[in-house]
Amino acid sequence: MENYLSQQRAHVFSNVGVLIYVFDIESRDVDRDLFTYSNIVSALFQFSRDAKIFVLIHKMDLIQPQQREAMFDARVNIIRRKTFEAFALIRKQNRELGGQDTSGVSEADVEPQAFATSIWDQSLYKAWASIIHDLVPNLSVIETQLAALGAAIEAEEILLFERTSFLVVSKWTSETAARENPFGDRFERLSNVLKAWKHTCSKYTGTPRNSEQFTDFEYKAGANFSVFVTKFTTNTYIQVVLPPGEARFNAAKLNVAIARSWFKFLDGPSAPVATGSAVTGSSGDYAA
Amino acid sequence: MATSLTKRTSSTEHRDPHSAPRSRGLYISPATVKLNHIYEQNRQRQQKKDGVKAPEPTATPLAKGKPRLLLMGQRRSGKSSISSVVFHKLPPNETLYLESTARIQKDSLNSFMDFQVWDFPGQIDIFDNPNFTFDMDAIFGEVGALIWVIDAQDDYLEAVSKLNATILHLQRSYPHILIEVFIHKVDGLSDDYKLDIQRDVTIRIQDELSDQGVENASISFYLTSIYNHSIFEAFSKVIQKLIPRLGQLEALLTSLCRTCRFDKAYLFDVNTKIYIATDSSPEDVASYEICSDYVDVIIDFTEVYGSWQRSPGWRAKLEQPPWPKRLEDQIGCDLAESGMILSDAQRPIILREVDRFLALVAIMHEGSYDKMPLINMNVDEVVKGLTEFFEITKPKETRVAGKDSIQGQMEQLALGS
Repeated sequence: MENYLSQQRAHVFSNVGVLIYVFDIESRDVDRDLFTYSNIVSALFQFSRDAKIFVLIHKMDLIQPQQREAMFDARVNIIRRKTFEAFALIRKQNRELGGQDTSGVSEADVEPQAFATSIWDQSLYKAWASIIHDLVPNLSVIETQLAALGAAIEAEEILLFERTSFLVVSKWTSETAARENPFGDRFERLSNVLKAWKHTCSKYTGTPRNSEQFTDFEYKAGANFSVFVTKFTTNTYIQVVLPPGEARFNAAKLNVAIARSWFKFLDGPSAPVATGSAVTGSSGDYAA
Repeated sequence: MATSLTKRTSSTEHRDPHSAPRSRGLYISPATVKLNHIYEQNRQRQQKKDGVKAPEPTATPLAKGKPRLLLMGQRRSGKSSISSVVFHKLPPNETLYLESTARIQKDSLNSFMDFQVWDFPGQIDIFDNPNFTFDMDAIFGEVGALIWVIDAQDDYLEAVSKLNATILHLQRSYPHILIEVFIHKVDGLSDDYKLDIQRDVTIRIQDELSDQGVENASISFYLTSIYNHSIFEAFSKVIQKLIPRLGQLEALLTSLCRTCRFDKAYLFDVNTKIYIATDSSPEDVASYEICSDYVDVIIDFTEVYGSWQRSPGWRAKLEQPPWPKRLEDQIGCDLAESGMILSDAQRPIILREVDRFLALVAIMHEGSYDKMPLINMNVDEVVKGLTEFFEITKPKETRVAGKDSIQGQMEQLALGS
């Protein structure tokens, strides 16, 4: 750890996209934790000023439920203050030494996003999903296209899952469904459910956990709703929730299969340049 | 397109002995006739018996409707943990915090059959208690099965001798009670060691009983743990013994498996994930696990998307063009149906709701997904058969009402032929 901050400082902290820093809520030596954190974010600001910071306040299950929120808020406030202090310091240094120009970055850009997590519930899925969400290039393109698809097939909700982790990469919900569905935590919950299911499958088939386990899932709950989850692109699964109806369901399945080519750019190497070109390519296909 | 497929395939579908063409309302499938026959026989036999002698309360425990399961064993052997995990869905790791049971805990389980589960405190000896005499008839009068829990990670000699004493007591007055021994907490023990314990316990009990001249007690042994599916499997087998006419159910599933080339089919109680029947192919823990977890997936999806009320305009909007039909006519099946294709050799798993409590889950043969419409139709017929089965085998009080309709059907059958 010390080594990272001294000799390997430039090596470790340049070209960082995201810093995920995990705090132990039950830590005995909070000051020491914060000191290390300050050092790390200083190094981060020095070498990759565009990096996003995510803070996981971990092992929340050890705190009594009624105290959780207060403790979390208090801890996050301290962390935020430390981050800003470190940022101000680096900015001052840079100005004096004429180093990297940090004028384009404001305090709001470096503000860490904090999550209360525990491995014993689905909170980790929520945290990681929003981290992944921020990492996806062309997010707005994906979201527009999902919305277009959803409107075209009259879906209630569309979720896009990452293949191995089943984290929700992107989602679209129709206005009425967004207003009416009382399960605000459903995205984390479904990630959790499908991931658990994947493990069951791998136990049954004897294949490695991270390999692909199922290709297609459909569920028609009478006159209530229908849903299907299917392999979409190489790296994603798509889940479509529909109003009931056999014809609607089959039409939606076909349409989603057709829409696959619109989303091909999702599989491109994550370098933004490459994906950019893929987008134009696929939309060209679509026009043809 | 789907309808044309079903029509095309309906001619080949006659291979299934339990299926009936839906178009002819008067046709009654062979299965229905057979079930009716059995029911009639049963009723006549019952009447004869009733005529000869007054009904004995303990002679036919199942006829009274609510079979009771008793959970007994030494203290801290895990009885309450078992009932909380199986019947109250408590996560297994939270059973650590359960208080020890001080009085008899009665749970009622409403499902396809109504069960009562009685959890006995381990520290009380009900046969030899100086302070209080228990009403034996009230406890054992309606019992279907006695589950004796033995802690395999503890010294079990005392538990075994207590169990022997209990069996001897029961053999005298209530010989029909099934004795089910759960050798519990076997997680973490090696396979060899587990089997050693099972052998040891079995021999000790049987030796002791034959010394006392009791030879024909029905005792079964199971290795269980709440941390895996074994406890559910053991409970499934216990409950299956209490189901009247289990053979018919199994025959129905076996014939479905043969007709549709299913690898394995289970009839699940959705709430407890106990399976109440399966086909006759060999037992396979892995298939049970995956089917039971599949039920879980379906439950979760149903809760997230199906457990809340849609707005009033929702239905009207869906019944507009391009599909201007009533919502009920737009759907293929008003009960939940689902399918999942595993990547491994394209093996599908299907689930079909039978009624409020039961679901049929089957693992299909590799690559048979193309025949889905045909399979759906056969599954439909089996579900119909199952519904009738439960209608007929319902406890007496409700059965009287159903009698007329069955007789009506029989008349219809006569007319039809």
